[in-house]
Formats: sequence, structure tokens, C-alpha cells
Amino acid sequence: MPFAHLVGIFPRSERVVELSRAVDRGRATADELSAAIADDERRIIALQQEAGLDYIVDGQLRWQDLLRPLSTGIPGMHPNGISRWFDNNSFYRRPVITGPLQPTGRAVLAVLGLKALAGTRWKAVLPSPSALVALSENASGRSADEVLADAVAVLRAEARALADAGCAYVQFSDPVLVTRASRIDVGRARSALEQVTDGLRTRTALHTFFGDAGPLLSELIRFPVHEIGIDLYASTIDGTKARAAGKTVLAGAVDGRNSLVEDVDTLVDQARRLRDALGADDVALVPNCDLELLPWECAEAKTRRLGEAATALKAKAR
Amino acid sequence: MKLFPTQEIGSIAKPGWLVKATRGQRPNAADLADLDRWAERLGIDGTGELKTLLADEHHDKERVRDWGAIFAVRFFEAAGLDVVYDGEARRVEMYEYPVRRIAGFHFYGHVRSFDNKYYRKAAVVDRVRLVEPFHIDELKFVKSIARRPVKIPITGPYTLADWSFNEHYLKTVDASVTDLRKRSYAAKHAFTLDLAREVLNPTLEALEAAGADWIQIDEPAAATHPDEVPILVEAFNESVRGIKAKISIHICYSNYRLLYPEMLKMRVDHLALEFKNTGDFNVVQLFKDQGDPRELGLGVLDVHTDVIETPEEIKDKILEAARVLGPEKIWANPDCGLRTRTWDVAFAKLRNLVEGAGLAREALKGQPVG
Repeated sequence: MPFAHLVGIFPRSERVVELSRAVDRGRATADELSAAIADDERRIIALQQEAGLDYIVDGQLRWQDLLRPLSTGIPGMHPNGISRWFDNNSFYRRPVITGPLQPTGRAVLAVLGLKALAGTRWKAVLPSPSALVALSENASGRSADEVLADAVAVLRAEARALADAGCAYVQFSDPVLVTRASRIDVGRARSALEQVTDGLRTRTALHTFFGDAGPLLSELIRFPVHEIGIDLYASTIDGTKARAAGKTVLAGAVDGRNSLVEDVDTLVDQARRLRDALGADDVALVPNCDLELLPWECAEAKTRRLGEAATALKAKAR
Repeated sequence: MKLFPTQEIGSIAKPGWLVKATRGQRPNAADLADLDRWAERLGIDGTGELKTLLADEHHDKERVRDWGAIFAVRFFEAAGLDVVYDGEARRVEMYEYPVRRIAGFHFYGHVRSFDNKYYRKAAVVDRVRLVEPFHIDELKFVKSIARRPVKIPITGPYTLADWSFNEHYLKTVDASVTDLRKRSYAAKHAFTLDLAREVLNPTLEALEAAGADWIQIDEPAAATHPDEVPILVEAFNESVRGIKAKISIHICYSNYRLLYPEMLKMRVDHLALEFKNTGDFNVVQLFKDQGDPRELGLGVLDVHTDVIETPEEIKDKILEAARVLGPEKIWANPDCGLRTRTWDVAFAKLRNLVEGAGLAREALKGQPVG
């Protein structure tokens, strides 16, 4: 049955923007900011519930970037200077790995709005192990294989802790596979993710974005996850011979990098075309990437539209 | 023209007195002491008028900005640069300033840049239309006070488009194009070309009419999306259509290899690129490999560190480039604007830039290059 959900960090409201700046300037306290974020987590959850989304996220408002909970919460790594976040006019702090990484299973839970998520069917987002390593600097003196093994152990612990906390769906975000395909060993990336998801009791997804998934599709559908996400604003699917039988594909048709709110017909059409092109079991509508590259009001409008489109898609599937 | 002339690239830090005064605040004693120190160092007279203005919270802000431009022009002249401007003393920054002067844009709320840093990104919601050419009065003022040749910087159409949301032009794409990637490309093309034809070209014409001899078009987004380089080049060429002034492009922190060979079709006289902070791609060899015949503004100052490059290392970098490309088309400049450095650091860097270029000229006296 078609469904829909969000895939990453939600933008901050103008109030949180103002308060976070004020905290940096010593004009507000961290507690005031935390309370405002908690309010917004509740608003974001209510928004998704009203839109009828199938899995609920907390908006990841406490995440400074996709890797930050790990780079600040895992012994053996720390965040460094800013680097460009792919082909966006935004940046992230590149983690530096300085020694063996020590799994804790607490890094993501520490920044999750668990209280607000209580009673919902919620999903969490982690970087894929190969993306975590590729986006970090290895200053540990350890081999690439050792560092990847460490990343697997870290993410395995995080994913299990999330499942134990009631998480129903873990998405592994990976913008690296499709943007640096020539420099990534896809088989190694798949094997690493397999070690993370092995025995995990939640539904799982690999979500790719910012790059063309088309040339990699036949490889991506072999990843050990239930669902594969594709950025339709960066991918050419026409003519693909890849078949995704047994998988659900996530149609990244809501553009997280442009403010124009898509119309329902376009979203429904894109989802059906993707499902048919790949012969997938099912299709879900999602944003192509985190909505954090938009202002709050645009992300809010797109979330509502995502729900409307999912409803229309479900009606057509009946 | 002498060998290895020197130029600045864009903005420098705004002095504390200028920042506060334009916010309607009164500068403090430290700001005023800084003003006095630099006035003396740069040989600027008549600052009594400025201090009177600063003491009045209801002062004429434009006149204070005039003073900001005077300080910046004298700063570059005192450093010894051959071509100067006002350090963008009147501009908030390079995106919002021009966009506020173009009809068709709408600003939503803030977008995060990183951590707790945010910026306002506009959406194009209607066909773009120039309200009136911008930077004209600014240029006239600089020309009225400068004692050296002047080069005016302006943000290019591709960067303005790339840093904006695109609503209007996406709606105009033919409905028969269903591939979202192709729709986005077509919309970006239409948007950028409209900015070039409707905004940049008439503004460049107006700047030329106001006396611009050299216009630098800033395109920091140039290499962000390699498949869109044809859009960059086409829009650039439309922007400069019919313009007789010298045209340069400044691109920083990019993999320049992604721009070629398309870049060879760009109608530009001079490319000002980073060289000091190039990482693993070397622009000089790239110019050689591609047979790029145009002038190269060689970035020999790292704008992200307080380390002051020595004249000797600057000389060596310049000569290294000259050996590959020949000396006639090499200019020396910082990698980018020095706005993140203090005036003391920026001045020391620029003085050494000028001295290093002089040493390079000396080294070539009577010697063949290569």
C-alpha cells in the first residue's frame, strides 16, 4: 500500500532561529532554546499526523548536521571545521576520527525528541556506515577497513538502541553512493550496511540523494533493506533495466531544495512512474532529501502536500 | 602595463564604526580609536566631519557609507595595489543586496547555512525585472575619489540563480517534460538567462555609461553543478553582450577542471582564481593544458588564515606561473575577498602581495622565463 513520510532534518522555525542565534551571543540560555525546540518537535509531529504520514519523525531539530550526533557523541571522533554539504550552499562539520570508535548506543537517542514521539509509529535517521566514513577524515592511523568496521559497530549499536526505544523504522541516509559513485566500493558499502541491519527488528531503508541513482540502481536494490530511496530531481530512471521486485521504492518527488510546492497530480504521477519503471512491489512518496534546506513555512506546506498526494495515491491503488 | 600588476578581489571587513553607524548605533571609544589609527596610517584628512556624523544617531547613513568607501579605497591604495575599489563598503553582502533591487523575488524565512548560522534565500516568483541599475552611484563615488584605476565587482547571473529558489520558471517549463531532473535544468536555464538579459546586461551597460573601465563578475557558484556549466557560460555571454569595458570573472573554492572546456567559450578577458588554496588542482597547469589565452588573476594570498605570506613566497608563486604561462598575462591577487581578516592582517598581506610582485619583476629583469 502506498504511503509517505519525511526523510530527514526539518528546518528550524523563526523562533528557534532567533533563539539559537541569541544563545551563541550569550543573550539566551540553552534551556530556553531547548524548550523552544521541544515545542517545535510537537508541532512537527502534529503536522505529520494531520497530513496522515505513515511514519513520524521528530524533525531532528537538535542535529546540527546528519553526522553531528555521532561526531560529538562517540568517543574516538570529533567535529572539525566546516565543509560544503555536497552541491548546496550549506555546510557541515566534517568529523575527524582520531582513534578506535567506541559504540555507545546513546548518541542519537540523546538528541531525539523521544517524549514528543511517544505513542506514535516513529522513524529515525542514521547515516549509512560507508557515508559516515566517506564524509569523515581518518586521522586515526587505522586502516580504512578498520575504520569502516568501527563505523558498523557504532551504527549497529545506535540502531539497536533505537529499536529498543520503540523505533519502527530506521532509515540510513547516503548521499555519497550516488554522488561519488566512481570512488566508492559499492559492494563494500552493501556489506557494511548488511552488518548493521542484520537482525534489526525495525523496517529499514537506504535513502540516496543529491546524485543520480540511475546507473547504480541494479546495485542499490541488492542492499539489505526493505526500501530504497531515490532523488528524482537528480536521477534519470527512464530506460533502466533494474528490477526492484520485493522492494519498496521511495520516490523522492517532493523537492527539498526548492520552495515551489508540487501539485498532487505531479507527485502521484512520479510515484507511479517510478514503481512501474522498476517493477517494485510498492512505492512511497517522500522528499528527495532533508527539508532543512528550505525555510520552515515551505517545509510545512510541502509536508501537507505530501500527505494529500499520498492520500490520492492510496485512493488510486484501491 | 608593468608585469604582474596587483588587484583586490572584493570585500574587506567593515570597520566597527561603519557597522554600528549603519545599524543606527553609536560607535564606542575603541571604534573611534581604530578610526583615528587608520586615518593616520592611510593619510585621510577631514575625519572631523565623520566623527560629527557618528556622534548623531540620526545621521545621514549614506554620508557615513561614503566615508566607509573612502577608507577602503585609501586602504588598497596605501597597500600599493594597481587596481582598487571600495571593499564593497556599501553592500550587505553579494546576494541579498542585488536581489533586493530586482523585481520578481520573494524572501521567505531563514535557511540554515550551518550550525546556528542562517541566511535569507529568496524565491523567484515572477519573471525577473530590473527595478533600476544598481552600483551606479557607488561606482561614481569611487571614481571621484580613487587615485588608481578602478574595477567594480558585481554578482553574476548564475550565482544569483543558483542561490535562489526557482518557482516561477519551473512553472513555465513545458508540461510534456516529465523528468524532474530535466524540468529543473530547463527552469534553471530560463531563470539564469533572464537574469543575464533583463538584469545584468542593462546594469553593466549603465555601469559602463557611468565610467566603468573594468567590471568583475563574481560567480562563486560556477562549478557547483558541473552539468550546468553551459548555462553559466551562456548567461555570462548574454550579460556582457555589447559591453566594451574589460570583463573579468572571479570564481573561488571550486574545482576549475569541471569548467573546461566549456569555459573557453566564455567572453571574458581575465579569470581571477584561487591558487594559494588550490588543494589538488592547479589552475596554472589547467590554463596551459586547455590553451586558455586569457589573463589569469593568480590568487596568492590565503584569505582564511592570519598567516602573512612572505614577499619571497609570493614572488616564487608568481614566477612558477610565469614559467608555465609566460609573464605577460599574470596578475597577482588574494584568493578571494579578505573580509574575514582584520584590517591589520589584510593590510600586511596586501603589502606583501605588492612587494612579492615587485620581486618577481626584478627577478625577470634581463632573464628569459621558462
